[in-house]
Amino acid sequence: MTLSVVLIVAVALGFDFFNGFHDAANSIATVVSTRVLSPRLAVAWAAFFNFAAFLIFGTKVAATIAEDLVKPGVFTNSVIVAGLIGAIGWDVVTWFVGLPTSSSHALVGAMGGAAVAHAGWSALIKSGYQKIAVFIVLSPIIGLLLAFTIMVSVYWIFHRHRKVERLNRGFRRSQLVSAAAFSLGHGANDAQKTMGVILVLLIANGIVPANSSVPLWVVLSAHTAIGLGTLFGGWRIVHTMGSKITKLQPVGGMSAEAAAAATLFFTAHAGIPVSTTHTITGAIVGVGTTQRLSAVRWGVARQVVWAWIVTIPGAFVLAWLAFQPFKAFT
Amino acid sequence: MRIGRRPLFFLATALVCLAILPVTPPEFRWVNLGCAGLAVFWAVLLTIEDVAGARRGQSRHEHPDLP
Repeated sequence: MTLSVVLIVAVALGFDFFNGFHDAANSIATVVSTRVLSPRLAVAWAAFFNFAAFLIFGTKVAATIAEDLVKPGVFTNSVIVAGLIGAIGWDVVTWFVGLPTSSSHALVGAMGGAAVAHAGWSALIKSGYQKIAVFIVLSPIIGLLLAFTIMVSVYWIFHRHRKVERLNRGFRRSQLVSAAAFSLGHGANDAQKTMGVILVLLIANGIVPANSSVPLWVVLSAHTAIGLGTLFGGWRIVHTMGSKITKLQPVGGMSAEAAAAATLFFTAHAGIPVSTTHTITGAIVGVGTTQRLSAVRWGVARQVVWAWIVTIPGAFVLAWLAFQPFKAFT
Repeated sequence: MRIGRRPLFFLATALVCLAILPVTPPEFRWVNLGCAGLAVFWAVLLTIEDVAGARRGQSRHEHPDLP
């Protein structure tokens, strides 16, 4: 393995770390806003389950990133570096302004931008981007509908219960499980994107064969990086997600996390890189909708939607720009 | 009769799912259809709830001595 490959792997793991820092706070937003866990404990809880995800899920999302977005042979070390610069740059900008955008879509957009700068529009695989674009819309809708359904079912099952304190204690406990499930889904989805990038790099440099699966050291290092990123977490985003979109009770937190976790399990199984941020936002809106539409603070939800719309083009442009200096050497 | 905003919200959600059906890869179209079906289901139930609530309010208005 050459020094340049080692350095790019380090940058990719740095992106994964920052992804945890930027995104994984979503895993703990509901559990913190309902005061089931202190922020410190919630972060440790989420980081542990981010890491543990490698034991449960396969690497289908990694395969999508590696094979379904850009035509084989287009990826070179400089394309991958420019893509990572674009994705990290976009994450930094949106983190700085406190927008809960998607690192997944930043990476997808940035890899596309770098590939187009290198080999033109024909470098992109349309069907891969189509699948991801459709699930940009569908993943929050699935989260919303599942969260609303779970919430209404819980109300329907327990509406005659009179011991509210005891019931609340139960929901608080169950929120620990739902938060863990969501962190598992998050780890599975987001760590795999980095695995996909590292796999592409290893293939481009002839270190592993073209049809190789993700090596175990890549799987472990990606999950470690995202777990550590979560541990050093982003508190601005916790604040935006947990309390600004709608006010949550333990039952609402549990429903939102369970719905988002189910959505992420499905997409990880289907190999679709989706945004954990989109999914949990949709689920929180679904919970708020059980009360009334005005319980949802649509101003913040709208801000989030704008962030979704601009992420892929924004990261695309940043990566395209980042590739320009490399053109002088190719 | 006035339909509340929540049934319309769910109806709009169902329409969004159906609108992107043509661009969804065939193997995932069941997700669009499932989501649209669930959204319509909730839109119908919430409409019934709204209508029943409005009737209850009206009958209370006409018979104020009712419990």
